Amino acid sequence: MATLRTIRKRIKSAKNIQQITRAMKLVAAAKLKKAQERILSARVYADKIKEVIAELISGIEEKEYPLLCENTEIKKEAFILITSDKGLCGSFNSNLLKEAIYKLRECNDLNLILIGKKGFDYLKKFNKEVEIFKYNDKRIDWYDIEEIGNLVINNYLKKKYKKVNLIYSEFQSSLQQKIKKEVILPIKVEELKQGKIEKRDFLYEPDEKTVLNALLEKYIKTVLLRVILESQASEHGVRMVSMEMATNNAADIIKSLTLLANKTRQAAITKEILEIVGGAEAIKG
Amino acid sequence: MKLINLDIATPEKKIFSGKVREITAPGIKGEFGVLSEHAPFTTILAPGVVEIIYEDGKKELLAVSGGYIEVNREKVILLVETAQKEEEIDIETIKRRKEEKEKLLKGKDKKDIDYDKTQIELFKEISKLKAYETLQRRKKV
Repeated sequence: MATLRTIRKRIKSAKNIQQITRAMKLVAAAKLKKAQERILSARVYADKIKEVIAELISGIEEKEYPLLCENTEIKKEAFILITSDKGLCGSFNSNLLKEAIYKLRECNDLNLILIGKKGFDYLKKFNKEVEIFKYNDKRIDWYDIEEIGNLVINNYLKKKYKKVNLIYSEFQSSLQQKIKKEVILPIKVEELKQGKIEKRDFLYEPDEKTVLNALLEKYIKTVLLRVILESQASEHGVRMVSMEMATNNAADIIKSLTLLANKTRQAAITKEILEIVGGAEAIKG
Repeated sequence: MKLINLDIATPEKKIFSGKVREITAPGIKGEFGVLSEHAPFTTILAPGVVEIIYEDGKKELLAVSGGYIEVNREKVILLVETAQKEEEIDIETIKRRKEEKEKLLKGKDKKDIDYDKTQIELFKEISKLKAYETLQRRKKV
């Protein structure tokens, strides 16, 4: 049986852990809020671009726009995986990596584009071609997006990829994480056509095709930015929940350990009393 | 004088929303100015300088790295990838940071992940420097 001292030690370390997890939960909550704000402020730009594309895209010949059609004759696919940089966020990364492995098995000829250190560390051992790797932290900004976006778009236009897949974690609420698989290239016209399609009486300079092409590229980049921001928000949300759970678990452990400590203490006292009584009896006798 | 409603947004946030007197922007086919009651029109922007004249006649220059502009009956929407205001650019810090990064890069292995990261940071500093230079050139004209 454990001595009182070791039990007390364990209680203390459980308390320390509880303190840390509670602090991490609060930090994650604050970061989640910031990440959500970033998503919201990024929406103005993305919505506007989407709106204009929706307007221009009706009644065009899709074949004229290479970003809209699949490069069917090529086998190689590109694959963008967005994970987090840090752990301690429950099954956030392992869920994403599970999907990734599934994809790796399905398709042999892959080019990886990894955002987030966890995914990079894990997929390193598969010896796949890693085209680009980025840390997925709060410093990721438009320059990084531009770099990734230009690389993907250029390679796609050079007919290096059949299509570009994307796996990320969509932000729904902090309680749940939804793994999303999307094809970002070729762009699906149907998705963009939603909403109002009435064409306004506008001058397009130099012409509609150039404007639309430039906007489609920008659209891809705004999609990338959005999914990265969403995955960050999702990461913080999941971390918040799992740290909350860890804090509760620590509380449970502390409770049962305290009970055990009390019992041990009582047993020790009872034992001592019995010994004294026994001793006294012996002297009397 | 009639004013125009102007919205400026970057992919990361909305940076300006309000009334201005005049906007000059670098279109892909040349620079153009927009006053109120301009015909509805859109174009792609080239990297360069956007000039805004506010309600009170104050002029402000913005270095942008390309984007999109839409002029409609109600307002002007300017979507730019990056926008640097002149007073936001601290030229000394940028230069110093740029040199630091360059020094760091010399000492590093190319296979290092940190190498890539530093290089991107260097690229950012350089692009800010470029923005500053374009602003300066524009001011002299």
